[in-house]
This record gives sequence, structure tokens and C-alpha cells, in this order.
Amino acid sequence: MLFTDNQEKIAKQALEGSVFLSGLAGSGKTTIGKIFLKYLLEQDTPGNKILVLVPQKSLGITYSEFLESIEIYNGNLPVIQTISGISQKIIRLFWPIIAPQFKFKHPKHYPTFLNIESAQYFMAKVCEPFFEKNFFSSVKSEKPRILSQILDNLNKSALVGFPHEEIAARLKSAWSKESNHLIAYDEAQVCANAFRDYCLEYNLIDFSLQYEIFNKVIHESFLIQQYLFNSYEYLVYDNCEEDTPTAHDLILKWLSGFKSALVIQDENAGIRTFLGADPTSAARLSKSCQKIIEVNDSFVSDPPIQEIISIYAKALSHQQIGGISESGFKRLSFHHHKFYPDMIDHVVQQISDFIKEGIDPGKITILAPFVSNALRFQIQQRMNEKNIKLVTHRPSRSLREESITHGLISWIKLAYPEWGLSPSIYQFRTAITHAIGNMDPIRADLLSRIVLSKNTTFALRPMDDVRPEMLERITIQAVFQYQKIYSWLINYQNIKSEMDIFLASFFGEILSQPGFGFHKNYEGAEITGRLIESMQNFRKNTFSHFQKTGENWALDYITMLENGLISALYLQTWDLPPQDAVYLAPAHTFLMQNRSVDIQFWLDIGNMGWWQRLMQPLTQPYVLSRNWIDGMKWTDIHEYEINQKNLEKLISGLLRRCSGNLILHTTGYNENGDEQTGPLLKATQRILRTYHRQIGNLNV
Amino acid sequence: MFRPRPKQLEILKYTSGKMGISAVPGSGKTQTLSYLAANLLFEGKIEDDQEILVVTLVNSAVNNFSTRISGFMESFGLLPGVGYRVKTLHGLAHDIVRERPDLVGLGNEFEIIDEHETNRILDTSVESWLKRNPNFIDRWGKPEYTNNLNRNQKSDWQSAVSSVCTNFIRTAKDLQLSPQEIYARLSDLKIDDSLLNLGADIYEDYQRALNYRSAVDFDDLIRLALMSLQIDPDYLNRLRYQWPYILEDEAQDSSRLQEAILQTLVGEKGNWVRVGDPNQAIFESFTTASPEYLKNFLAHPEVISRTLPNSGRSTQSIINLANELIRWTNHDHPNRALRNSLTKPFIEPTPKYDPQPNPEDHPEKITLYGKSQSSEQEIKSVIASLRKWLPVNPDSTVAVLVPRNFRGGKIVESLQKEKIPYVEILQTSQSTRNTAAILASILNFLESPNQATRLIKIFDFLSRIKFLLSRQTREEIVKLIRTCNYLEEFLFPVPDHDWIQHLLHQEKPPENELIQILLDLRSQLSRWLKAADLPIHQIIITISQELFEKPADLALAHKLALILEQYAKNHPDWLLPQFAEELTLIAENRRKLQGFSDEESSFNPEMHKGKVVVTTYHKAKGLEWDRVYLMSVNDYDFPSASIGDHFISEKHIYKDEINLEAEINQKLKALAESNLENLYLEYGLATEQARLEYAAERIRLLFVGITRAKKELIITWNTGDTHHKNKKKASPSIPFLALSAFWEKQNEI
Repeated sequence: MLFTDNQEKIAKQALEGSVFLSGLAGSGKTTIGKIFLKYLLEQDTPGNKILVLVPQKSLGITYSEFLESIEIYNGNLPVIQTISGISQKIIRLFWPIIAPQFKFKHPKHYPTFLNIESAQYFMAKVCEPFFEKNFFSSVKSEKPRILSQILDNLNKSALVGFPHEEIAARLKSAWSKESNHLIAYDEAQVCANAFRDYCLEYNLIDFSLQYEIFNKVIHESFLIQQYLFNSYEYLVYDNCEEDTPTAHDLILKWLSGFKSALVIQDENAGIRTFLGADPTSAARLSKSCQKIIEVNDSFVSDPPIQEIISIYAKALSHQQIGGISESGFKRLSFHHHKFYPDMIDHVVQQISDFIKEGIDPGKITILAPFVSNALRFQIQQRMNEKNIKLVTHRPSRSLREESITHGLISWIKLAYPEWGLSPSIYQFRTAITHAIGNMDPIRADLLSRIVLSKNTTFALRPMDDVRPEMLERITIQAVFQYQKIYSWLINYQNIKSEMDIFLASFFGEILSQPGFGFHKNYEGAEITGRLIESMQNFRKNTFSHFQKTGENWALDYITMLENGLISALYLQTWDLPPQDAVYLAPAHTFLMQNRSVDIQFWLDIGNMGWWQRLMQPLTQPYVLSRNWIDGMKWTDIHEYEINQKNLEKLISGLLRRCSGNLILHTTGYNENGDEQTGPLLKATQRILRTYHRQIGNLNV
Repeated sequence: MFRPRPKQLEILKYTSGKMGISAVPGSGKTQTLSYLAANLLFEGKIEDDQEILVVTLVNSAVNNFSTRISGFMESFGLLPGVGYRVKTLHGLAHDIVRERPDLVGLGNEFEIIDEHETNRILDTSVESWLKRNPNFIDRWGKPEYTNNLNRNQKSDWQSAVSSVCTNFIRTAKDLQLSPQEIYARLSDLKIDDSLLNLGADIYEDYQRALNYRSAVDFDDLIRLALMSLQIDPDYLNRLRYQWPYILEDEAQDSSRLQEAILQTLVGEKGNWVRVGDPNQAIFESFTTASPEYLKNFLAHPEVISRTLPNSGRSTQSIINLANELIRWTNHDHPNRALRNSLTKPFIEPTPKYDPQPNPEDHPEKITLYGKSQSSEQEIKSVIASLRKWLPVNPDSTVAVLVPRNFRGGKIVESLQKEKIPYVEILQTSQSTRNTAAILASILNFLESPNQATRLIKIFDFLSRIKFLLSRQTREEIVKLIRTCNYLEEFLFPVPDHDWIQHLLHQEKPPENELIQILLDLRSQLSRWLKAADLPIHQIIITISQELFEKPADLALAHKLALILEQYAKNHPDWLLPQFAEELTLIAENRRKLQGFSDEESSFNPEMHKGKVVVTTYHKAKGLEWDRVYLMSVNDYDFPSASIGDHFISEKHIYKDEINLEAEINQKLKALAESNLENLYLEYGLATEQARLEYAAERIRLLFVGITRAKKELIITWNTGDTHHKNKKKASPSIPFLALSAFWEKQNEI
């Protein structure tokens, strides 16, 4: 890796104290962070004294890859962490001191940290009686969404640093619209309080409580503070603008304790506002650093692309665009299609042509405001036909989307007939198609209709009495395998165990054996593994609850999974997409990937999603932020300005990660069949019109 | 090139302020309004970031407007598609709400629920309400419809009460009343009324069910759009800037809320042009829509009022017949209360040298068929007439207009039987249904792959759109498939059990061509069967990519995939059978799809020469054909509020001849106005008023029907359906008799 003199100079300056480094995307800031790390390690600094702090895990990957590449080990590797990771570690370590301060009912027992899924589960439990009392009758939203917004509000209070009891008051004070809605804020507050009480009663720690506890103890307990502050001597804090105000509070206090520190801020970013990111708060850090350095280089985008950025800024803010240079305009191309699939065809064809011209597929990205499964699949298929590798951003996948999961659930239902949940013929057919090797759907259908019974407690029948010609139709081999499954399940009725254990043994002793469907189905095995893991996590997290209520955790798990209250999410095996394939992602996600490309495709630029923020009736990230002035009303002017500013940020962020061409596509009817001409399309039209007028085409 | 006639030129001089135009059918109002929009753009009346907003009534008009405006713009040398937005009121409301959903308590991902889903919610809620309130049936039902109800009677009640509630909810939304507000008013005024209680309870249930789905219905969209404009002045100002001109078409069907939304958007000093024909107001039943809004607007002192009386569409005889309907209604209608149903101006033919001269007159091509016939006979005689006429007129257009979709379906069945080429525009567009039907039949097969009938159905589709087989080959293949006893041996052969091999070893094996088709079919179907495991959106996309070629079909399939993906998210336990059922609903027309407005709107009668277009009187609005059949012009479908008339809303299960929809609406309006006197009015008066309103609307509907015809017109009537045993036979409607008399007299001369 080659570095510029200036980059090395800045990294050296950081070694001598604390530096606040800011600059636009693509200006080489993270590279300076890496040089700084390299220098530290070269000076024999023990790795475990260096903290690389990032707002989200994926942003740390570039550092860990770098560390692997330079191969300097000083005993330990530098620690790459998020504040959340640090806080959980601290709470576990100091639990005996912390617990008594926080009204936990069982301070002497260790707490359970809830993941998103179990937090949603308990929130649903806690809120159930309130829904029965007709809460949220004025909110037009599905139950899981209401629950996640209540959790979101709790998280915001902890991340921004205000008492969670004040959520409703803050939202209400900014609300100037329909008065009925105020009741909903109060109702959400009641639920949030009840959830918090429940957590304290059962020693459960969700994300918000974890943050709240940490914020309090780290500022109030000298012991804990010293422990943390003494743990590290060097700091790289990258993308601080994407972190939260309470994280900044901590670093402000901590900064003087580091021997040297490099705080890096991406200017004109702060994309994760809806997750509590606060660039204004991050800017405070500059005052506590000994030096402020700004980098203006651009290692990715060249002047023509920068011209496009500035033209878009003008077009969006209705300023005179002035002139457009020929070289700038050449980088931009615009294509209109009447229908959505036409656009997909064209995009894939263009990509294929680029690759034929020698462009590296990893240097091409396709961006859209949202990436639906249908869009992903459409592009994937066309790319496959042309042998082009595609990776798509998919932060998490839900197990319940997999048909293998449906099949496994059918086996569970059959194994526990006492629950009264027997699978339908179709469900069973899915199960049997996966379970028996080389089973086709027609024979599976025949088999299902023969063996599945509605009238007996145990829903399966043996194949003993079936006519020989039917046996032959289904094939003797398949019948034989079925009999094995049947006997195993019958036998299991006498030695029942927990559901996760059942699934593990059923998989091990039957499904994965030669002749059965999972024998060489590795993806199926992985999904089974994940499902078992999800069940175990659930069992562990809810243990005390079910112990108290005496209800059946497994039955609850299955019902909630089928009702969509548990999604059984799992992370993709990679956190950072492979760099050698065309990359498809939602535009905002791309910004959080530290990736630059030659060619960007922007799909469906008329879509309002390019401009409009995520709106949810029970939460409001801007009002719940630290920058909101108490008592001020949120008006359409705020809404409009925020959207305009965010679109400008998005355009500039994307283009600063583009070194070649920007290819815009628009459709008459979008994916949903709607016609939309949102602000990005309109701004593009202004640019096109200005250009055509400039070259003398007076008819525009 | 559009050459405006003098009356049109007067309108094109408009530059600002408020203008109202009363136009007759065929007077070129769409053309004039489109030209006006293009002209305003050409003259640079708006900024780069502003748009001329054109609001029209139905989807079918949206594309028509867009195409015309862009055509004019191109002819002026402007970039088409920029600077204007054409929307239906629902489309506009959707745009307004979608941009700021938070204002009205919605998130970005709110869903618009269709009629099918609304009915499903209402039915559940009504069913349990009726169980809890058995007195309701005692209060309103005929003695034989109150005790020990059988299944059919229960279902009659269920659907009657659901319909009452649908109307109640629609009116409540139109009056901007929430269920809570209704309860509060009932309790403040100490009202205990069985109808209002029913409405309020169901309304509350219904709204709760919508909320839980993050959904709004079509009426909510309108209500919420107005609410957003009213509660956020900044947002309103932004939209006012965005749309400095509003051109409104079909203003005669404007409802209270539509007028309120547009008025709010226009503001006091804004620019608003409203065009309409009060004689074509046909969407009023149980809404607050009324031609009165347009009439009042036209009469307002600050409004420039204009007319477009010339029409080059029809022959003089057809114009005479339409004008006679106006004249007779105004002067001779036996029910004096209905004499205002139609208004002048009379239709005038186009002036000399007009670019659109009226067709040559052929009075003999107008028939008012007076003979009494049953509803089946009526269909038979229309079909017989078409069979004679079509071969002689392959380059002409023809339409059969019916009062209701159900009747349209019957005509289509007969046309199919007689193998007469036809096109239907009933509920969803043809292509949506075809696409959905094909996909649904495939999903149905994937669900039950052991049923040969399902396989044959798919083969039937495939043979037409993919294999492109002759009828004979198709029939031979079907015959062969029927001989296959075990489908697994066809689709998933194993050694010694391969049906195609078996065929080849027969004494007389089928021809190679047939075997090849069977092999192709095997490979296609077995591939799809294996894909049945994929998530639903992937199944749909995979199948449609192998099946369809037309971009519009592929786009629709993508949309269907997206819809099913959404269902999968909302119903994680759903599998293929449930998805197949949903697609079947779309295919069977019981569920309407949002979006792709031009799928419907691209309907141009000229594209279907030599085929029979079957549609409703309502859907025919804005269209024209050389020959038009107007069916069912009897006193049931076109009543005159005279003694003995039957009204569709007065159900046979009710104790008296009463229209509960009308009664409940009247009470609700009285409640909204806190009008105690009206709240305590006896039941029955609202029914009578509703009869008058309905009869007036049906006269206008007949007027619309007549003015669809360019050269030839056939009007028939029937004695009605006879499926209700006590039902009296229908007679010809009074306007039909009046027009027949007029016509006879004309011909005598």
C-alpha cells in the first residue's frame, strides 16, 4: 500500500498528541488511520493498548483486513470495538457493583442481554394487555411495527442521553398536527415504561438499558471509569459522525487520557440519523483535540464528478446552474424506460458491455432507494445468464423465509402432537421432499395424502397397509426411508426432550444420514443449524420468564415464528461484500461500506424513496435528537429541508465514491406500478434542460 | 393538428383566475383542456420546479390526457412529460398523503387496501355484530326473514348489512367523522338508534382492522389528503407553489371532499379551470358527489363561465334523440321532481367547415326495440344482431353497454359460446387478469401436481402463448395426457416407469412432433415443480420470465411478485396454496390491483375494430363507437321513482320497502349537523329521496349511453331476472317509452 507524504505527515502528527481529522468521503482519511496504526505497531506499542472505535462493526472490517495484511503482531492485536461492545463488557465485568444501583429485582443473579429478537418478544408480551385495552387505536400501523418503534424510542433516549420517561413529552411538544395523535405518544410511553419495569424485574438488559447503565456508571463511578480509561492508551475513532451523542460524551471525557488519538470525521455525512447518528455532536470532539486537520484531496472522484456534485446541489436548491462543462456532462447518462423490467434488462446489458470492455465487475455498483427481494432476484437471474458475479447487500435474512424452515417446523409439529398443531398436506409435502433423498414433488404429494391423518393424535400413519402398486408408484426406496422416519418419530414419543434437542437429534440421526435429503445439502444443514441456534437463544433468554409462568417456550416460539413476531434473523456469513463482483445495494447502505467504484447505476430515480426519510408514526429521530430545541414545532419546512439536505448529502456521498460514470435510469411505472417524479428526477431534468439550452437546443 | 373551433378558442384565451366550462358530450373538452395545459407551458407561465396539475375522474382518462398534452408539447418543440402531472383524485390524494404520511399518523409503508379486502374485514365484523344484536333483524326484517334463518337467509342478511355499513363508513369518512366522534355525538345528543349504533360499531371495528394492517382504504386517502392540507399550512403552501394551475375535468362528478381538496390547493387567488357536463353526472349514488358543485361554481360572480355546445361525434338523428331526452325530462317527465335531472345546453352539431364534421345521418340505423323479452332472450337477440352485423362491418367499432358487471359477464359467456370476437372492460383490465390467471393456474398445479385437469389447464395456456400450437395439435396432446394415469411417470420418470417411453413403444406411437412437445412440457413443468420451494416472489419471476415476452406482462408479473412478497411478510405461515388463492382472486376479478393506470387507459375503441366491446354504461363514459347497443333499459335498471318501480337497494328481506343505506346516511348527516329534527325523522323519507336521486342519475346514465354512439344505436329492454320467486316482471323504463314515441313520430314525418 502506498501512502502520500501528506498522509504520513498527518499520521505522525497524531502520534504526538490528539488530532481531529476531517474531510469529504474519498479524501483518504481512513488510510491515514491505518498509517497511524502501522506507526504505533512499528513503535512496538502492544496491540491491546490500541482501541479502534467505530460506530458499527462493518466499518471496522477495513482495519482488521489492514492489520492482517501488515502482519505486525506485538503480543496482541489492536482492539476493534463499538461503544455497544465496550458497554456490554463493562456491565458483565462490574455487574455486582452495578446491579444494586438500578433497581434490578435480582441483583445477585447475572443478567440476560437481549438481542433484537428477544427484546421484540418481551416487548410483545408486555404490550399484549395494552393492545387488549385498545391502545394505539389511532395509529395506522401493524403490531410488530408499533413494538419496534417503542423499542426504538427507548434506544434513542439512551443514545441521545435523556431519561426514557421523557420520550412522549418530547414528541408531543414538537407535534403541531392532529391532536388525536398525542394520545398515541402517551400510550407508547406507558408501554416503554412497562417494558423497562419488566426488564428490571427479570434481570433482562436490552440495548437501551445497556446504554443507559453504561452512560451512568462510566460518568459516575470512578472505579469503572479508571478501569476503562486505563485499558487503552491509543485511539483511532473513525466515522465519529455516524456515532451517537453519548458516545461522543464519553470520548470527550476520555480523550485527554490517551497518549495519542486520531479522531476522524467524514464531512457532509451522518447518514445513520435514524439510528441516532449525530454529526453536530461529533463536531464537539474537534475542540478537545490538540490539532484540527482538514484533508481536501480526492482519491476517488475527479473534477468532472465534483462538478456534477456541485451542479446537483444547485439544481436541488433551485439556484442558477450556470454552465456545465462538456467533460462533466459526458460522465452522466440518462435512460428512460416505460416498465421496470425493461430497466433491469437494460442495466444488466450495460454492465455486461462494460465488463466486455475490460471493466472490473467489482468496480460497478447498482444502487436503488430500496432493494426488494423481487428486484434482487430479477437482477441476480439476468446476471447469472451472463455469467456475471453479483453480490447483493442483505444484512440479515429471516429463517422463516426459507422453505427448509417450514419443512423442519412440520417435523416439530409432528413430533409434539400434544400441541395440537398438525401440518397441512402441503406443509408435509414440503417436509418430506426435503427429508427423503431424490424425492420429487408428485410422489411426495402422493405419500403425504396417504400417511397424513387428521383423526389421530399422532398424525402419521405407517405404510404397512398400502397397496403394493401404490408402493411402487412412490418407489420402494422412498417408502423405506419414510418408514425409518416414522419409526424414529414413534420412538421419540417415549423419550421426549426439548425442541432444539429434538431437532438436533432428528437431523443427526435421520435427515443427514445417507439416503436422506440433507445428506449432501449443506445449505439445508446450515439453515437447520441456525434454526437450532435461534431456538437455543430464545430458550436461554426467556428461561426465567417461562420458569415463572409455567408456559411452554417451544410452543410460544413456533407460534410467534409463524405469526411473524419472531423473525429468526441471522447475519450473512460476510459482513463486507466480496470486492470482485458487481454490487447491488440500497443507496444508503452503500455509503456505509467504505467502497469506491468506477461506475454507478442509480435505478428508478423518480422514486420518492431517494428523497423521503423513513417516517414512522410513533418516533421521530430529529425531534428526539440532542439538537432539537425543546418546545419547537416540527413543521413542513423542517421536513422539506431535511429531505433536501439528505438528498444532497446522499448524492455527494455516492459520487465521491465514484471515479468514472454515473448512469441514471428512470421508469414510467415503478416496481409498484406507480408513476413517481420525485425530486432527484426533477433535479436531473433541470440539469438536462440547462445543458441542452447551453448547446443551443432551444426547444427545451 | 388540432384546429380549435370558435367556442374552443374562447377557452384557450385563458391565462389566470377561475373559469368554469359546461361542455356537451363529444365537444372535445379533453382536447381543449390538454391544449390549454400545453399552451400555458409554452407561454412560460410556470417555473422549472412547478407543474400544471390536471385532475380527472377515472384512470382511463389519465393516460389520454398525458398523451395529448405531450403530443401538443412536442408540436410546440417542448420536451414532453415535463411540467405537468395528470392524476385522478385518488392518485392526487395518494401523492399528497405519501409525501407526508406522518401528518396523518401513517408510516411510509402504508398500504392501500382494495375492495375485496375491505369486504372481508366488514363481513367478519358484521357477522359477529349480528350475533350479538339479534334484535336488529327483528326490527328490520320481514317476518319470514327474522326467525330460524336458513343459511341462504343468513347470507342475505350478512350481505345486506355489510352493504349498509359500507355506505355508512363511506359517508362518515366523507363527512370527516371518526368512529369516536360519532360515539361522542350520539352520547351528547342522547341518541339510541339501531341503525346508527350498527354503523358506529362496525366503523370502529373496521378502522381498527385497517390500523393493524398499516392500511387505508380509498375513502381514507381522500379524507387524509384533505386533513394533511388543513393541518399543515407550510405543506399546503409548498403544494400551492408546486401546482400554480389546476385544470379539472369531469367536474360534474366532483364530491364535497374533491371540491374541498382542490379549493384548498387553489386558494383564494389561485388558478382553477373546471370543465364538466352536468348531464353526465353518473357517479353520485351514496356519495356526496353532485353536479350542483359545478353548477354553483359556474354561477359564481368571480368565475368566467363558458360553454362547449358543439359536438361532431354523432349523426343528427342521435343528437336529436339525446336532445329529446333533455327536452322531455325538463318538460314532460311524469315525475315533476325529476325534471331537473338533465339540463341545457342542447347538443349542437359542429359548424360548417369544422375539422370534425358530424357523420352522415342515417335515421334508419336507430332502433328502439320495444318488444318484451326475458333477460336471456335479450342477450340472444343482441348476439344474433351482432352475428349479422360484424361480418359486414369489419372496419367499424361496436360496443354493448350493460348496467352492471354481472350482466356483462353473461354477455361475454354468450359471445364465447358463439365464438364471436370480443373485448371486455369490466373490473380489472384484461391483461392483469390474463397474467394473473396464467400464474394462478400454474401455482394451483404446483400445489396439487397429481391432478391431470390442472396440468391440462396449464398446457392450454402454454400451447397458446409459448408453444403456439394449432388447435388440432393441442387437442391431440390433451387427449394423450388424459391417457396418462400416473402423472409422476410423465413428469418425473424412473427406470421402467416412463410414460413417454411407454408411448413410443406402443404399436402406433404418436408423431415425433407430439413427443417433442410432451418432452418440452415435461422439462418445463418439472423445473417449475422443483422451483415451488423458492420464496413466492422468486417462483413468480422465474415462471413469468419463461412465459411472457411483452414488457407490460413482465412488469405486471413483477408487481404481482412484489404483492405476494408483501403477503409473505405479513403472513409468514403462508405457503403455495394461500398464494395461489390470492392470485386466483386477482384473476377472477375479485381483487383489484393498484397502479399501471394505463393498462386500462390505453383502451382505444379504434384498436378493436371488428370485435365486440362489452362494458358497462359507467365505464363507457368518454368512449365512442360506430354502433352501440344499450341493454336493460327497463324500469328496474332505469326506474323513475314511480309507484311500482323496484329499487336495487330496497332489499326483499326488509319489512317495508325501505332503503337502509339511504336511511342510515340521512341519519348520519343529521348527526354530523347535530340536526335534531332530522335525527328524529321517521324512517322512509330518506328512502323516497334516494329513489328520486337514483332515478335522476339513471336518466343521465341513459343520456351518457345514447351519446356514446356515432352512427348506429340499438336500445333494448328486458323483463328482468327471475331468480327471486316473488319478483314482479320488469317493464320498459318510462324514458324508453318516451323516446320510442318521439322516434316513431319523427319517422312518420
